[in-house]
Amino acid sequence: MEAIRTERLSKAYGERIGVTELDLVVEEGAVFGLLGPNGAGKTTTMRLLLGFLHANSGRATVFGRDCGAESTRVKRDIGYLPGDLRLPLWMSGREAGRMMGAVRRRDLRESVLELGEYLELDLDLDVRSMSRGMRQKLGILLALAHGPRLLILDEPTSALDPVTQARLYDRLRELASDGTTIFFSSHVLSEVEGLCDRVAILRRGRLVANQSLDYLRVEAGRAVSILWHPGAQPSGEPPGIVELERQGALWQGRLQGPVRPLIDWLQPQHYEDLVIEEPDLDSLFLRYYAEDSVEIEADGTSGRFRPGDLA
Amino acid sequence: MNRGLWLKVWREYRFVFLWLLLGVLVFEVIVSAVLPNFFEESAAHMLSQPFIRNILTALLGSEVGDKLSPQAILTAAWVHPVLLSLFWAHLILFCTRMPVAEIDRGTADLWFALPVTRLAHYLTESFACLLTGALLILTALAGHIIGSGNQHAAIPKLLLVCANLFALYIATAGFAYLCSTLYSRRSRAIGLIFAVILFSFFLSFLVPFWPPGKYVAFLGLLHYYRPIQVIAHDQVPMTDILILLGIGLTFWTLGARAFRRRDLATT
Repeated sequence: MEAIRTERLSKAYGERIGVTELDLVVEEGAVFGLLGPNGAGKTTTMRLLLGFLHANSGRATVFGRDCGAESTRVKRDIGYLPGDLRLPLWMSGREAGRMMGAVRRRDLRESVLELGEYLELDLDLDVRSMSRGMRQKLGILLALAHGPRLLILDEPTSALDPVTQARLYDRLRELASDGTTIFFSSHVLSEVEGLCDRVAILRRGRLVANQSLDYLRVEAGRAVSILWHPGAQPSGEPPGIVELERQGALWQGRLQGPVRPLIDWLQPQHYEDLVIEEPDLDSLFLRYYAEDSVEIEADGTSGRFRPGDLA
Repeated sequence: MNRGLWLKVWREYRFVFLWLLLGVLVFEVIVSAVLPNFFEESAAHMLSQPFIRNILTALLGSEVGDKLSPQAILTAAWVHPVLLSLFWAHLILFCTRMPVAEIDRGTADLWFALPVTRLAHYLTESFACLLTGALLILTALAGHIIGSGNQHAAIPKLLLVCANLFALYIATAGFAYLCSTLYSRRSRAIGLIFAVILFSFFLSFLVPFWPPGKYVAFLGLLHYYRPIQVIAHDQVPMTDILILLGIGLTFWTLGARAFRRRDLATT
């Protein structure tokens, strides 16, 4: 089942673009990362899903329900952590849990206690006395406490210490393995790499990529270095290598695609060493983020885009 | 009605409200105790001065004669600027908490991500506003009865004054909610509500001193709140009450509509 579907979803704030004709599909149980530079439209997308904003055109659904017309029903299934989290200063964790439980007509005391312990948060402290990190923990607790089917997290690890970040990742992985859909935005690429099955990249309100992380790893290419024996005479061009630089006996480039043809090509030749590094997603994302980069047509349903356009 | 939303209102506003209740009670007891004695000593002299008569007319909202009964003098306790200021302070504070203050502070994201319609938020807040207003008025009534001893007007007349004051409260609250739903900055909403209240107050004071002002007096909300007509002239202010309720309901409905349609953008 589809957890999220947007069809030609557009939102503008007067002259300023929020998102433009966004087509996106997130399958239930997926961990989906939404990336993009500041002002790309990530938060706008999330706010449209929550019914905070009314779309100028297009449609968004969560678990098949319209985010505008059935907003209240949709929000029963959602846990949301805002990017710029602000909490009432008088509220303590325990009180927040009780109040949210009363609004949702559910007893959340046990799950609030469990999450408070897990996140090492003092539930009796009021927000006024909390550090920024503690407030973020409380925001996470409130997003998770009612066991939502869909988690919408806007930069969830900002202000969190590394230990709590790791704990949160573990919890999110557990939730995902139990079938919870996680839709989050982030600027931390290691976070995206560690958690996501799939990412979409927005730039200036437009979707410029929507791919599985495995596909992007292949597309990102891997840095390759070949060191030749002195006097070796390499025959032909190494297959799959782009941006090749020859510096005497040292050849360096970026491998795109599978490694097997390169190995087969090297086999009969006199090479001394071969180094293939991890896929460099950072530079791929930066290329997407860059203002002058080529836009890739994304297809939200099939997730295909033209790899050739990347080169 | 959602219990959680009521809890939120209570938790956010309880201390302010208790202080306001206390303020209204203390003020009304004191002013109701002091007014009759004060006027008994100097009423005849004061009513012979045209300027002071005009001030009294402006304050009470109706022409005063050469003589005022103790009950009529006590009417000033219901229109005293301090009492009205306490009511308006409450209205401005309460009605701009939600949605405009929530949007301004950024806490709207927390509340509006919950599975509750905007209308439910609006209704809960509106009912709480009516309830707190009614409690404030009943407290003022209690203070008036306690302070005035046995000199106060008949209870049915006082209840009619309370009903008129409640209608004025509803009209102002309706306008305050409309402002609260239209703006994203609390200071702007408060500024507009304050300006309208001030305008209304100014208009009611202007008329006795500037006769052409009577042609525009109907534009001020206070024009429809004249307790002296009830106490001294035995009138039932049904038209005034209906006009105020109509104004309140119109603004409130427009507010509900604006709130349902608006974007909640905190960034």
